[in-house]
Amino acid sequence: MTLRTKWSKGKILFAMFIPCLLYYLIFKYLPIFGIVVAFKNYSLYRGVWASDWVGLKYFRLFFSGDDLWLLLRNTFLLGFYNLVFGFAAPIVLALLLNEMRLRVFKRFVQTVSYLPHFISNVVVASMVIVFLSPTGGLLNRMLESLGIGSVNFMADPSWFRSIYVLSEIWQHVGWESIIYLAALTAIDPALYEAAGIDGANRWQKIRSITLPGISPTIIILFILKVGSMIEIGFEKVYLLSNPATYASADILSTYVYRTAMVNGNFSYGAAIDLFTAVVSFVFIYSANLLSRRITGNSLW
Amino acid sequence: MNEKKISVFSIVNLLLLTAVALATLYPFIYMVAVSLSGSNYVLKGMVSWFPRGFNLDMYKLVLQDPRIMHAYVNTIVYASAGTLVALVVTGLGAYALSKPEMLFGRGFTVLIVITMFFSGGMIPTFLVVKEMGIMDTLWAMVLPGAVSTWNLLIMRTFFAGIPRELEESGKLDGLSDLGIFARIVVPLSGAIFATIGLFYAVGLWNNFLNPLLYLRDPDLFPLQVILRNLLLAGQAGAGDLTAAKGGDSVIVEESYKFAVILVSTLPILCVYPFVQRFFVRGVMIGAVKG
Amino acid sequence: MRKKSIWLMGLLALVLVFSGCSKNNNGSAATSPAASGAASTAPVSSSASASAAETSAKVTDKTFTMLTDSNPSWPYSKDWPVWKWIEEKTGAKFDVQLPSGTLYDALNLTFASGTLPDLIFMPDRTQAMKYGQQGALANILDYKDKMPNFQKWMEQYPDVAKSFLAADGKMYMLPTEGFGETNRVVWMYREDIFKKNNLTPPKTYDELYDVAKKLKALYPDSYPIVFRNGMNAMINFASNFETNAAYYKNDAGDVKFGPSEDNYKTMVGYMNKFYKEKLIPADWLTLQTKQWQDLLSTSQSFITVDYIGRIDFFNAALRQENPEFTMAFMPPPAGLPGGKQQNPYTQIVENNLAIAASSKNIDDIVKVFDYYYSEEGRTLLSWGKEGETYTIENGQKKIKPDYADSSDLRKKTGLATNGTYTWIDYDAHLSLASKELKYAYEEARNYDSKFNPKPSFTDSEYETITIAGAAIDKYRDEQISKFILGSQSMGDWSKYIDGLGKLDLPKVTDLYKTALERTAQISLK
Repeated sequence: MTLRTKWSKGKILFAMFIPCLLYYLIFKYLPIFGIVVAFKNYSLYRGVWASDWVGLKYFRLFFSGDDLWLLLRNTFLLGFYNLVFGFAAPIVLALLLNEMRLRVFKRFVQTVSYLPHFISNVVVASMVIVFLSPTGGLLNRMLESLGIGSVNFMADPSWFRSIYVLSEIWQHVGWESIIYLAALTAIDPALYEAAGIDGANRWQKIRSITLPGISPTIIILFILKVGSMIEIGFEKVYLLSNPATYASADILSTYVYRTAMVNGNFSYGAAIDLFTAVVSFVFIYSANLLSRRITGNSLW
Repeated sequence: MNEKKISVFSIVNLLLLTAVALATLYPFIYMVAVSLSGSNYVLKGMVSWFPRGFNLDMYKLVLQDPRIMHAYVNTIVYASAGTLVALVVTGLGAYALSKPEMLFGRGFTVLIVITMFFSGGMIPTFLVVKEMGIMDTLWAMVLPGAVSTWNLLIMRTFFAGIPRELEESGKLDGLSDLGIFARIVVPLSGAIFATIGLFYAVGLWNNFLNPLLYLRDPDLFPLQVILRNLLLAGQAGAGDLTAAKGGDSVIVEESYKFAVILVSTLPILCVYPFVQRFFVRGVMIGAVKG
Repeated sequence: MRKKSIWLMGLLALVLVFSGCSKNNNGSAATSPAASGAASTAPVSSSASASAAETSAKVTDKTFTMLTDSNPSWPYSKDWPVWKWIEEKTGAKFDVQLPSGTLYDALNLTFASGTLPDLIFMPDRTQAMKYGQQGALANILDYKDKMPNFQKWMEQYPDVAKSFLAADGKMYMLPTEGFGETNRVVWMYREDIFKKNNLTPPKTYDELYDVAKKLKALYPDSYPIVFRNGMNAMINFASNFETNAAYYKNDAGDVKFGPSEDNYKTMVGYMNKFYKEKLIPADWLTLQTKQWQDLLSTSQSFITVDYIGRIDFFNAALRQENPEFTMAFMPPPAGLPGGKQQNPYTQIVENNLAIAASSKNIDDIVKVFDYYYSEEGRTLLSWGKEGETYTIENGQKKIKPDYADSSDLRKKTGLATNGTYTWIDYDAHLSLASKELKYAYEEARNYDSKFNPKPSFTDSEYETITIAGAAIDKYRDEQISKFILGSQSMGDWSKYIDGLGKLDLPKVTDLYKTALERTAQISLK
């Protein structure tokens, strides 16, 4: 097809895309010049252009840091566990809800399970800390009554990743299952009827009808999640960590917060952000490529 | 045999979902109980399930702030206008990108995905909005968040899953791409529009950063700004005893904190049950067959 | 092109501001002449005896734009009488802009947007020095000839004034004195419980240990000593051991990093012992404010270290139920054999107004603020007006009983809120405190440690400090917390010291030394 015939066929589609295109040009690509801040000694007052160039100074500073490998390792591991467990949980919840025959109960659980999404990280973190506290925390009281003895969860680096991932799941599982519940509505009920006549059991139906039905959604979300795997927000990690757990809790974003944001060193922060962005882009690019080869589904 | 297996699964499922419900509901029960309790009971940590020393003082304190009602109205306006604009822009864009015949479809997608990772940061965006002259207007609340890449790509995936035959029939009826979208695709996509609409609405409802950046006139402030500022009282210096200004920061009572959280989130929590109405299975299939 | 548009926008803003004020003026025009008339006839002080500098002739008739912060406990009001009082004395009016979120964010945006208000409230001295050295803020010392009261004030408080100097020797924010008293951190104990069990407050850490052991035996479920904010609280204990949790100048005049000293090790040893024997909660590192409150209010903990004002906070709330409940001031225990009993020096306030270098009104502004630094201004802006907010009994000023406490005073009058003070007579607030709190303030002054001036860094020094310094701080916090938790043996202390050496500690300590010496050499004359 020549470009010309393509254009005449697709011009209305293109017109439909224009508002979206304008949005990305104005609000995303126009401000993108801000990236040069990573190569400058940025002063808010002087502005982006008038600030002095420093070249790769901040990148060098970052790559020569003592903690670099620990930071990268912690960031990658936390992101990886969060991806593996955090990604599966909402799918499982959506499937369980889908199999629930008690209509009212299903809607109740559905509504209730998304509540924690609305609690701010500050409150969630303090709830987690109080819940796990060895001085009167609910969990430790239970462990003590079972004769196991109390555990100082928050002060032990080996517990940190589990605590973080579990709290993330608790906070977002209901919210993220909504999208799968929406995708489930697109599956033809006739397929289940036909399978039922063929004598398929519940498990077989899930495997051969439900999962394939929502697989495009699963795959797209997975690719996106791989892309954002190491972009872990600093707030919750920061609130849940303490000096005794730095060995596993100190990640890129908390490092940026501590060394750059607190002190208003925007350039150093921007340099590390740029590094994170490049790595993330490599991740999403690879995930997309693999997915296109294996499943035929891809973002582009 | 088969019968029994199913019932075991049902019981396990029931238990699992009950556990999920309890684990996610309890914090809210706790917050409600604390916010309705007398301060002495809260101070001594004696509230867990039910309010003790029941009173509405904290709610009176929060709601008597003269700005609250006005801020509620502002938030509702921003959230509804913003959701509407976002759904139109995102829906149209996602549909266009979902079609293989879209010009440069792949190129645009890559350009869009890039912005998920590479951005100029808060201050350049602020300067752009400022230069546009939309500071202190509704547009500053609506436009900078009109498209979320995440939502756009999810919608695109959903539209791509709509059977081709449906649209072909529209073409035969002489509909343009826009006509097919409006007459055929939108009516079939209630669940995804409701879901993405919910995502946008919640995002706008909870948004604190954009008002902070783009609004100067206190009459335009949404709820979150007012309430967060009420909460900031005790947080100033709370993380650091040695901060040189912490001494006169007041310790915010838990009951007050939770009353603020509940006042600010309850309305948006009530939206989801309505959204669930759109989660009806088999609408699309019926249309294909009909 | 860009510059031009910014300039135009600034002009537009200015026009808007002026048109805004002229509107406001119509409203207040009726009251202001009457008010100023009252001021001139009222016997403020016999004007003949007042020195020329003390006369309060109006120095301006302008309105200044001011970006400041509003504390939710005493939210900003343009109707506060304090604004009227300032206008009566100086003629100044303020057009206040409030940030919609935190002041830090608002500052970033304000400086980035390039249009600055006349006055900007700085949340800490670092911000002021940073923007000042970039050229955004006016150097107040350049105008000191127009500020006779301020000059006198600087002679009275040279150390305070110097602590507000930036590394380039300039002063980018208005220094403030007197209000730091609210930031005092002291030891407190449950007097009633001690009396009941015939215990006496400890004077040394060994006695502290013994008394805590006895309390633990009497109340096995208790954690006798409690504190919040984890590792950040170490600064309070460090001064009991005559050291510091960071860089400081010791009595010999040397700049040292406290956590590398033997005294600090002794302190860590005690903390480790307290932790092992459950005299402090197992989760001292992560204890939330709410948990800390619970422990103290349910009598599970009896000794704590926190802001002095918490004495009233606990007593007022808990006496409703248990009239015996008494949280009282406790002298700080000495950590070293024969050592000093002293608290950390925290009674400083480091936030105040700065003047934009771009302001057209600097000459007027400095004259207005010169009044803030006069004795008369200090009295007015601390106590308010005689008859209205305070009375004099037996030569002693007393805030009227219409005001329940100091936050009520601030809420109703605007006194001691951002932008309305630089020099506070803290007695005004003390006159509203409970008897116990007053006693605590008097006693606490006997246990002051030395004022430890903070250094001022140049931009490049500051960058080194934040990046290398953050690595050192992180290492310190991680290691020290492990020593206390016992996951690392005290025998490994020398390894920790070696680790500090590898992290550029000598270099950072030298930077502190250079900066402190630089400031010490500057003359304010």
